Amino acid sequence: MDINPLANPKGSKLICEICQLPAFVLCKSCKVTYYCTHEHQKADWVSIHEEICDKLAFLRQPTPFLPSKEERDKRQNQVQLMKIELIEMSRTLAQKLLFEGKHDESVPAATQSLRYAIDVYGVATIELVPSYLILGEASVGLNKLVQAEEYLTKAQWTVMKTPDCPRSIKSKLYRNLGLLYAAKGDFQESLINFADDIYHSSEEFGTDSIRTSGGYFHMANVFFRQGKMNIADSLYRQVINIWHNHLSEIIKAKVPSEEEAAKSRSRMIGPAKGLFEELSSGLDAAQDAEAIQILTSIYDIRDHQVNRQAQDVAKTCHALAMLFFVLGDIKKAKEFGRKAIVESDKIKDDNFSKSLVEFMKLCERQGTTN
Amino acid sequence: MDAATVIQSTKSGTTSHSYMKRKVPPSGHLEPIKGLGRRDKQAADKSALLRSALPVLRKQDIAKFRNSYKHNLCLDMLTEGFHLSFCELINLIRQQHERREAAGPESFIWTKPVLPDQPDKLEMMKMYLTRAEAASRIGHYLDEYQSRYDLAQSFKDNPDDQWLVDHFFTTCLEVAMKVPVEVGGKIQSEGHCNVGLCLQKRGNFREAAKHFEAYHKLAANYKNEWKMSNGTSFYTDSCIKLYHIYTIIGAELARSAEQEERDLSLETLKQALEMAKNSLDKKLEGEASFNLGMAFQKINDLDTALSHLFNFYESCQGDSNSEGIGRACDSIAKIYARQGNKEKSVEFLKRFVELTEKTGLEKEYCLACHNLGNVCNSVGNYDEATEYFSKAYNISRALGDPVSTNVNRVQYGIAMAHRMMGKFANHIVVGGKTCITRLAEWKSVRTDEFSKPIPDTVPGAAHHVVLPPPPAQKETAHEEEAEEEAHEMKETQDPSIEIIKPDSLEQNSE
Repeated sequence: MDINPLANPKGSKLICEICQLPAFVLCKSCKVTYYCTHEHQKADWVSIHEEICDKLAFLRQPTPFLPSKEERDKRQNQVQLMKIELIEMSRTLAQKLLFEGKHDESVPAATQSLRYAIDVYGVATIELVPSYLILGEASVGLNKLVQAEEYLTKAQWTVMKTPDCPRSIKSKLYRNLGLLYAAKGDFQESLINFADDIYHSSEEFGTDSIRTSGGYFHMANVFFRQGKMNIADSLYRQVINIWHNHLSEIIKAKVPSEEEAAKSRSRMIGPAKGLFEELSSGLDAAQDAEAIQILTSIYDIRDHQVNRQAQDVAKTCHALAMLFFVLGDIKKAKEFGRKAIVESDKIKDDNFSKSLVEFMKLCERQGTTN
Repeated sequence: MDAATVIQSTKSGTTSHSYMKRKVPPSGHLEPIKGLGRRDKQAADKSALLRSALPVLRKQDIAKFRNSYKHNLCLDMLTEGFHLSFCELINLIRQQHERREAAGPESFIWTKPVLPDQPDKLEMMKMYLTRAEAASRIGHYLDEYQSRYDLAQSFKDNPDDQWLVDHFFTTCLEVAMKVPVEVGGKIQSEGHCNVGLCLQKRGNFREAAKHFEAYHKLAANYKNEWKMSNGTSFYTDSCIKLYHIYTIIGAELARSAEQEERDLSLETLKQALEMAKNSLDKKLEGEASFNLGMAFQKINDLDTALSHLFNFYESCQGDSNSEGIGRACDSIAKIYARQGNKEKSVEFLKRFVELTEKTGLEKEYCLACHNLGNVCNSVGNYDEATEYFSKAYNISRALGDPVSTNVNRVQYGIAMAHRMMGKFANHIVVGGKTCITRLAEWKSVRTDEFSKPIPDTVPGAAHHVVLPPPPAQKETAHEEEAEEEAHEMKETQDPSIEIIKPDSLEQNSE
């Protein structure tokens, strides 16, 4: 027997956005989203609701009466576009939260994107896979392995049923499967999956793309945990090289003249920088977070290594410094730049030292104009 | 559970089967559902047995069937941690693909098989590359070098795989450069040599020369220690390689229109000679001298040219290389002719003729006769000129070379005319009835009776040459004319002409 809360109109079931149980709390700003408890409301707010509140208000309002067919079509189109935008937004945000390590916060965002993806594209279509993958990764992060496997299996099934599935999706799927098996402790299986990830990503973006670097990084972690240090080292080195080259290219493209540097800086730290607009680094929000995650963890590993090579450490520091520079964090950039210089003094490589000195000068200039 | 599903499926299968068989259902009475028959049970048991006999497929096993060969190979490499080999392989495949796409489906390269379709090659590359990477991981660069070297060698036989050879030799050199010179000097020099050879093959001579120079420099420190498998030392080999590349570059520069480049060409040829001397190979030294001599001759430094050519001549005599001697004689004679030293020129040409006559080199013999005839002609020795030209003409006819046949034919005619001209003039000077008759005879039916003695004169007067030999410049003009005529004749393509046209005789004699 159903019980309707007295305050609700009869027959309308209000369910919680997070857990699908009967809801008792309403979001005050959009007035269309309900929660069972304040905790759930807070969780949703932190994760995604803050960004999409007004969009939901538009999407969930009852369809107004429109007399002509054109107007109805127009509105239909508008709604569709809005939904797609919403899916993209919540996905990128969820991915970003994942890279920042906030797995629990990314779940509501991913669920939201999945919900609307099903609404727009239908069940069991390839468009749902990214959402499933994010959910899977989040579940792995939260150590809910069974749930993660469920999500990933769904994704895998869909991918298998789609013959011309884009390689980028395949690569992501295998990466997540690899993470799942690594979390389970099945290293062999996870290596195979990471290998598949690297293969597909290399075919799509090239072996030295930053998108491929993630696969190398995870693979290195597995080898690291297996205790095969020399393989892990060589993989970490490749990851650092990829990022180092990429970031140097960005900086080189940005530095041509004083004015342009100033311009790009104002763009970078300007208040207008939205969360989803592409940064001047040419990376989207998720890639930024990925870069920080990968580079800092490699730095930590190198820092704790006993028989580390100065060259590797120096290059890692330089890459990190460039990354922070590109992200506009001059203070941290300088800090890592100094570390890189200390390390590079141990090796005699003039080209590298020269590029470091140039980079530090750039930092100084940026710091003073700031 | 598997067995249960099988039973279920077979059951539904049989019921639908029996339903299909009876197209019209029996009226009214429904048959009771029978339990599983004996036959059905047997079938179910059998399929269950079969299924249990099958091995349990793991994901990798399934993937092996589902993925392409290249895909599986890459996965194998990556799971073993050989990511650099993977990168190299993928990039090579991509490189080939791009080149193929750029060339388009009309091109020749399109018909060649691509790497992903050649499993044996992929397998081989995987083997060697992973071996190299494993060696490099633990810092055994010599082993890495060896693996890459073997890989390059294995592709050497197939001309389609030249680009792979180039690639692996280049990486070989990169690996060798990582090793300090004291240990890896030998492989470094070998690497430079191989890369140089690849570049030379591709026509990039300047770069090749740079690598050979590095090779030479490294090898110079260990002249006696480093030996190849066939016993030649690296140093000698480097000298020979450098000689070849310098000669090629020199020849290329000489063709250029700029004065500076031509000077540079001379320098390069001198370097080539130097290298040939260092290699202690007399034959190469001779060749280098010859090239240098020819270059000097081209810039009109005749004395220097002569000295170099004599070097060549001597070296050829040393190992009795008759072809070389012939070439030397010919060039020396030409230079003497240009200097105006006819006697020497004739002397060397005669040597040339004798030599070629002995050794039976038809073509050279023909050329020698032709040159000798020319010189005789220019010094006024028309009898000999006629003789040599007739030889040259006959040989070239025998050889069936239309250009030289035509040239020699005209020259033969000119020489004959020259020979006749003196007597002809004599007859005119002497006058008298007999002479006039002979002249008229010749004019009408071309009977040559000028050699007969003229009555009422001193014996031999008919042979008395009144006209001086034509000056040398005029001679060259004649030659050019003759060649032009020869070309004209060739254009008309009339091989039936065997006797010199009287008109041309007349022209010359007038």
